[in-house]
Amino acid sequence: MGVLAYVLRRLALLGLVLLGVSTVVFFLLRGMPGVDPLAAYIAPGLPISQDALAALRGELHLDDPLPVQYIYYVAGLVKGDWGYSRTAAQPVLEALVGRLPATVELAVCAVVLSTALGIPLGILAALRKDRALDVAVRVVSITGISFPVFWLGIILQLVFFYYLGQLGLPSLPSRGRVEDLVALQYPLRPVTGFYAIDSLVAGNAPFFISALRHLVLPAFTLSLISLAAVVRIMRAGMLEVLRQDYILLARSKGLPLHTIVVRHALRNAITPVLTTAGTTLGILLGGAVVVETVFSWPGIGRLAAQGILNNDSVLVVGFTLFVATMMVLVNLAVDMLYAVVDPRVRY
Amino acid sequence: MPRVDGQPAVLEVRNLCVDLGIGGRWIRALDDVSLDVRAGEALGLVGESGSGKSLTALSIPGLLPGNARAVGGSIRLMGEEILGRSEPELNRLRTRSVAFIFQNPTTFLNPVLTVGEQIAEIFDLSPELLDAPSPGAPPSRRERRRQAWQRSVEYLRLVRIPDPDRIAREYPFELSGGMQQRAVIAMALARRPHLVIADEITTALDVTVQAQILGLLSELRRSVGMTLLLITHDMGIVARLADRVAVMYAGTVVESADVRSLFREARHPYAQALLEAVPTIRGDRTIFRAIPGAMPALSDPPPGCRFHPRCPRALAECAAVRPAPVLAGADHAVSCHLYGGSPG
Amino acid sequence: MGAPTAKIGAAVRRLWQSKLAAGALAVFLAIALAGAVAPLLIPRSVVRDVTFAAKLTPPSGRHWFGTDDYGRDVFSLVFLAAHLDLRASLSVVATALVIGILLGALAGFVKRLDEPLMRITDVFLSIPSLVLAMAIASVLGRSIENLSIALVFVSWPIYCRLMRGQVLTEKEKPYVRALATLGVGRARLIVRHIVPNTLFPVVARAPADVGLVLITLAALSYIGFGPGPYVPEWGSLVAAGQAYIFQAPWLVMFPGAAIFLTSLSLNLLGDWARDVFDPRLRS
Repeated sequence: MGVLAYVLRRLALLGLVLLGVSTVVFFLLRGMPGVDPLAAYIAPGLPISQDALAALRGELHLDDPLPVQYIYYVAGLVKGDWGYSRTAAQPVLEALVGRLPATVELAVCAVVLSTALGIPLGILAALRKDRALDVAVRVVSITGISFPVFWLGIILQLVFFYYLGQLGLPSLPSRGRVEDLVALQYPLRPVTGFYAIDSLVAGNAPFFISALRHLVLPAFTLSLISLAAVVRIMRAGMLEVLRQDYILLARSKGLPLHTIVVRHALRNAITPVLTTAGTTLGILLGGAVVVETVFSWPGIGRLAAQGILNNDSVLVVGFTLFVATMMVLVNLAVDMLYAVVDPRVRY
Repeated sequence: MPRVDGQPAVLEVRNLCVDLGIGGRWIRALDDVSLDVRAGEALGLVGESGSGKSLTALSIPGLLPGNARAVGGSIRLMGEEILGRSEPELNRLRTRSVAFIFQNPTTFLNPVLTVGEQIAEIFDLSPELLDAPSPGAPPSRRERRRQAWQRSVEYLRLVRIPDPDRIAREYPFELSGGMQQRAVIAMALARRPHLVIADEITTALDVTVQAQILGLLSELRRSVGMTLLLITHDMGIVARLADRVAVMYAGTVVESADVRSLFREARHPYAQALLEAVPTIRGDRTIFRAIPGAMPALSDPPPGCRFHPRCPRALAECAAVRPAPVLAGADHAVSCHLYGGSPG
Repeated sequence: MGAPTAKIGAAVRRLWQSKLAAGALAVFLAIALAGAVAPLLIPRSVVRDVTFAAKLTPPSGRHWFGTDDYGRDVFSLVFLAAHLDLRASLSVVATALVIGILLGALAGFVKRLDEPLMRITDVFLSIPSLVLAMAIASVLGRSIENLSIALVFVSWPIYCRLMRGQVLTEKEKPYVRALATLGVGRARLIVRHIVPNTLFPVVARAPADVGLVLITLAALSYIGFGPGPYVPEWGSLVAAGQAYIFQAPWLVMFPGAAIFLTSLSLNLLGDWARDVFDPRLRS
């Protein structure tokens, strides 16, 4: 029963955080001094009648005191009414959920890439501390953190799309999720919204290949952000664990190196990586906004960016709330993963 | 050191020299250490902290810390030379020949693995310790796993852990210090090693538990015929468990004898002082006799005999020439000029 | 407890020893200096004047970084942008530091304020920085000043948390208790003893954070928050240049490289600062 109580406790805590986020968001929408709450709902330059304005004021309960407005607002959130986005010409929640699979597909690829590369690199760097590999890894890692993501995306586009194309070599696409031509010729009925999975399941090979090719550059760009962090943390964690006494005992049993690393060291060293998984996801979501813009990837990040250009605060604020909710859920999943990996946590 | 009765020695250390790299310099931490452990006996290796006992012990399974290196001498375990071996060869030795029990069981047990798992993995390394279900047919993996687990539970029972089935499934942090140490001992025994090295294994435990563990070791020695290298600073433990004793000071062995002879008539002034320093209750007073001075810093050892600055019976040559070990009785060796330790 | 001046002295010595950190400092100072003098040396006409004849020329002896689609000298633009970007990043971090340290110290000393302040920082920290900055800036309006304000909001919680943690640990240390029993007044204790010893690990984060803020600022500017074409800023320069990336890659390469170099040197400095001032993190 330890695990259940643990989960419930975490859930309650995270619920409080969400409430707090909704307060901040509400304040941004309605409570900013000097900012007219209605401004976000009106397209600049478009004439709007007084009646329509009054109706809008009534709908948003703008004449009520702030605390009352807040209650209506939160009630609306819970019911699924997150406002209407001019940019998407859809209710905000619908717009976000509709484009979510594109972003998730990208983020998942980025996470897979960065962990698949980052964890082994971090382990190797720790095992060969201060030797050539370690130094190289650390250099790459700090370069990765310092690289502006949008610049990297543009450079990759330049090299892999333009220059390769110029040389007549097969190049990688730089825009969108799939070739328009392919989508027309080999239409896919989206089930999950994940193009790679849907096309694989449907046996639609051209679509699948095109989708994968389009994933490469954006996913790689996005993964670089977290790769550097994962490598650093894994290396530090591994170094810490390898100094521990129980590793000496494991060695004295005559266990070979790979057994010691995998069975004894890794489970202990991976906890700091998990701890930062939540923050890393947050950084990835922020990065997704930029990467989706660079590669014209139709996910929630690009939608939010378009909302900014359009002064659509309702959308942008809804996006913020959406992201916060996702992070909260991921943090919960990470906490549960903790309980699996480290038995001491269950008590 | 001469051998008596032609008894086979499980461990022979000869003129072992180990350097430690500290602050950019190599310091001679072990200087010409020699000792024997014979089959079935318990050798107590005593000395103050810093005398080099743990370092000597760690050299045997090749587990010296990163900044230490063996620079001379030889260590022969069951006749096989250890120094200069590669890591895979050392691993083989560590699995089958020598088991090390460390001082503080809490930090030496992996917190994320159950006790049973940490014992059972030994059988993964040495499947020959398990039985085949029928001759000629290799056991399946599941069968091996099951047997390994059963054996682990048996060894837990052997070290007198109550309810070993349940304990095997628990994690180290759920056990008391005494139980953890027993589990570590079980891990050592499960390998059926030729030599067990116990490094200050009761120091981190409180007195009652200490007594229990010592009792356990005593019993195991009788029942299993364990060959033991016992490292301690506590003469009481030596008196209780050891057959023979080697006394170390500042990186070298100054006297070695069987336990009775040592306690009755220690020759080396340091050994004598050690025995006198053990608190005794005489009449209605406790008498404490400390040894004046302190162990020399390894980086700057005194010339000649390392003990001479603190020695109440130092001779002129003690400050100049290092004494070599000499026989001063049956199976009783001393490195001291008082007994004619001058070379040549 | 090490006197602050002694720590700084030791830090400078370590800097001298670590050539990497020293090199990073040199690079950063060079860029900062260039940015500082740029508005003085470069006439505003460079930004305003359009010379179509010279548009999109590659780097040459005359225009070291080439020209953009308005015919403006990219070299001048990049260094004018350095002025803006560095001043904005540095002021954001400085402001966030001050706010965070004050509030963090408050949380550490005044128990009743601790819980509410921690809940507030929790909420702020649960939203990714870029996203939160976007939300705040979108409500305030698009300008560098509003972006800076948004970034301050995003950056202060971490310093607040760190400072609070430091204060709480330091308060319990034996020397503080000893001084208190000797009759040293609370205010004096705080100001002369606790604060100087707690500041260092918090401030050690600052260089790396300046780099982070710089990149976030440039990224937001790239997406569209940036000032118009007449106010040079690295991110918006990259955005403007992206349209011509295939014909004139230098438009994107030079501002991007500027961001990268600045951020790299700041991160290296940040590593060194953490090594020196926050020994807990040493391996």
